[in-house]
Amino acid sequence: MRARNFVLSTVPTLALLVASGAVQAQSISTASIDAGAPNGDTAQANPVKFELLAGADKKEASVKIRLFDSLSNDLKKGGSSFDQSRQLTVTLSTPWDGENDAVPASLDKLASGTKIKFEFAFFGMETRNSTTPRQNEISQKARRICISKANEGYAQRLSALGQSPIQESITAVNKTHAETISNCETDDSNSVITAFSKDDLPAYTRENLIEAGIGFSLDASIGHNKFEYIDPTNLTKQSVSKASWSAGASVRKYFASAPVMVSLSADYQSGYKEGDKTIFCPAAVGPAPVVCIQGNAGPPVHQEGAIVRFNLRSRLLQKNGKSLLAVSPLVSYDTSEDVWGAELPIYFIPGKDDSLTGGIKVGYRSDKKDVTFGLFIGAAFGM
Amino acid sequence: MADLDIELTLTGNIEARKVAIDHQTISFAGDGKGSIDVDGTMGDESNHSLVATIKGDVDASMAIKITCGGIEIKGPKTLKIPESTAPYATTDMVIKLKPKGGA
Repeated sequence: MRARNFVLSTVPTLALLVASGAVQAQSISTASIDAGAPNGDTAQANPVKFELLAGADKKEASVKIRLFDSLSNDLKKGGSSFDQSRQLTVTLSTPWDGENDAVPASLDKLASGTKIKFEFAFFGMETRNSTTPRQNEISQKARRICISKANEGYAQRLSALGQSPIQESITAVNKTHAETISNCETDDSNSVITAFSKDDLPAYTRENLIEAGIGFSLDASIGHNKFEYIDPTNLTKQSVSKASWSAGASVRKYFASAPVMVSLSADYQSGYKEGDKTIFCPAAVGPAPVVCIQGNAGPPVHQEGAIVRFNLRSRLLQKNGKSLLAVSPLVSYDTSEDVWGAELPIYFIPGKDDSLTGGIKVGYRSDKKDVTFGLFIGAAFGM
Repeated sequence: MADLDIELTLTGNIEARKVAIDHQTISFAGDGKGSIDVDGTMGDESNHSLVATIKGDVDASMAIKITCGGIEIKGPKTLKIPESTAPYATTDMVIKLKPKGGA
């Protein structure tokens, strides 16, 4: 029973993690600061970078320090390169009420709820250094459409000048036309395809990928919490400080042939859970009214366990390049309790910027042996 | 030989990026600046190929600016990751060794 509550409190958070786009191993806190938090802009190699992430809605203030952040490329034989990034971050977070100052530590001790997390992340992919015949075919098609439309516009503008146009007007139309044709011929392929042959943009993009990429991350966190409880034997208020920790690893892989990403992650968590809130009343002695006290029953209970998750993400596009449908099936397994769960969110509700932000979700848990079904709206689907 | 200076400006979360000119991958320093020698001289209007790729979040982007001897010859050209190709975006273009917009 001691770990059962832990399982119950952890498995439902998986949906939040998927919806937020976080695929890295999560720390023991369900309100992880990385879930949905911006990763910020990147440069080629930032030695140290500070980011302050704070939000009253999360009841948490955080400072993220990028100790190492680099982007690099290795030239490979055959006209391609291995493009990679490495990032090492430390995040310090502490409870915050959104109004008063957040104080993660005083001179002699850490504040209750303060947590420090280390994370290393790597990503690498192999891309071509030159275009393929298929890419050239796609960009030439877009450029032909661009020129054809430019010629149509040119003819219309000339005809709009009337029977006897003045030379300045003709010169201006000719100049505009020449510039338009030049843009069709010399603008970068992505811009021309986006404007004149948008359906071909995914194929053009994927042609550049030899190995779409693989990434992994490792993280470890340690936290400090002060628990207050009532000792049931003498009904006195007590407090105790406990440290909790977690470690996790994840790996994800993308595919060049299709918009698919699979990830596998494992988290081991060791923490403490407060006892249930209870009202304690001493035995009545004489006619005096009894004074009751409320608090957590007994000291916090140690909980630990590992959770393994497998996630697949894929989406289907419409002809206009907007997402039509996306799925993100997730299977999770709690090794200590032998409980597994599965979720299948199907995104189809559009948000802003062509993204999908909601849909229906089917879920199953082996301990409850029931299937859940419902609508959800959350963070945009991402890969 | 002409020495091309390339300057990248990254916006949003980008996990990997590559710029290659004439099939050669360019290395960039921490400030996003890199350089490469290509055949030809500034003003000879010789053509050179550029291929650029980024991987990251939707709407993350990379702006590319190319100069030769301090004279801008291309850009800034921005490559942005759209929903339709996320998490990738790629492009290619021809760069001429002549001042940008020059006749």
